[in-house]
Amino acid sequence: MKKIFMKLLNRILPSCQEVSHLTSQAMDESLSWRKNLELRMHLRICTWCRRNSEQIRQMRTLSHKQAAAQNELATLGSEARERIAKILDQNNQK
Amino acid sequence: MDIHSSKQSQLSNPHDWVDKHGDALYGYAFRYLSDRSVSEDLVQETLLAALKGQASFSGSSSERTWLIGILKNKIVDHYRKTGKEVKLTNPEQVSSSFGDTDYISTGSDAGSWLPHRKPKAWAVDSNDPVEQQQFWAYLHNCLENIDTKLAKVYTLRDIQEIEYQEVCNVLAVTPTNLRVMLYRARKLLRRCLETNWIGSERTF
Repeated sequence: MKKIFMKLLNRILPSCQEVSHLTSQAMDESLSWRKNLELRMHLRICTWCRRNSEQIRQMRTLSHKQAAAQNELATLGSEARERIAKILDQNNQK
Repeated sequence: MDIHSSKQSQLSNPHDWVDKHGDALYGYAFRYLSDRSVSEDLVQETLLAALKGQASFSGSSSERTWLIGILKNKIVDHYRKTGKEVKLTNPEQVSSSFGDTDYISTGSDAGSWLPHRKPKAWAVDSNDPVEQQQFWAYLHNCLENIDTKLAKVYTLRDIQEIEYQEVCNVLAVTPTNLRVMLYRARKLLRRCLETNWIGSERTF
């Protein structure tokens, strides 16, 4: 019974391939309510697509965490600072 | 309209610009470029352009905002130049390196995961600094092994979290194009991490 039900659901819902496109798209923009519903329902019943979704989202979260930490340390080096200040002054006098 | 004119900002002495805005400009550039010397060069170009273009400062925005605006144009120019190089050396690589080989292509199960391509279970403990470092190291390796354009797209959007539309502007690609490229980049990188990291060191 469950098998038949799943088969039926698979008919109605988008395929894994389509879902992986929607998963990525949903990370950047909001989907139409219909697409969103289809995506959510598919993810509910499909372990593989759920993993795929969780993993690429976690990749982004971790990446951003690391980048934020590095960006905080991103300051103009003293050498570049002096060089730029000097060139700026030279051109300013002209 | 005295109130208006008193609110108009005026430019400070260019001599002080590096001290006042150097770090902010550099930080901004670095988010887009992930490269120290290129970012420094663009800060220099920006300030020199600003020096020559002082007359174009309308006073309706702050000095910082005005400088960032100039820097943005420099970043776009930079990507335009380097983007061309990428296109010339491997025009078709983006599309050819990609065939959707993860899914069953025909029959009633078309579009389902192929058995051996199903994503394996893995999750990184976000609070474990060692796992975070490992993730980062592997991700960097993976980024070097995919198409440079895809790596750029991933870096801007998922690592630096730059707005979708901004990424389109900087790389001069359409939103649809970017959507496809991000899909490919995320897919390739997830697969790369799964194969190289999870497959080798980690056991679940």
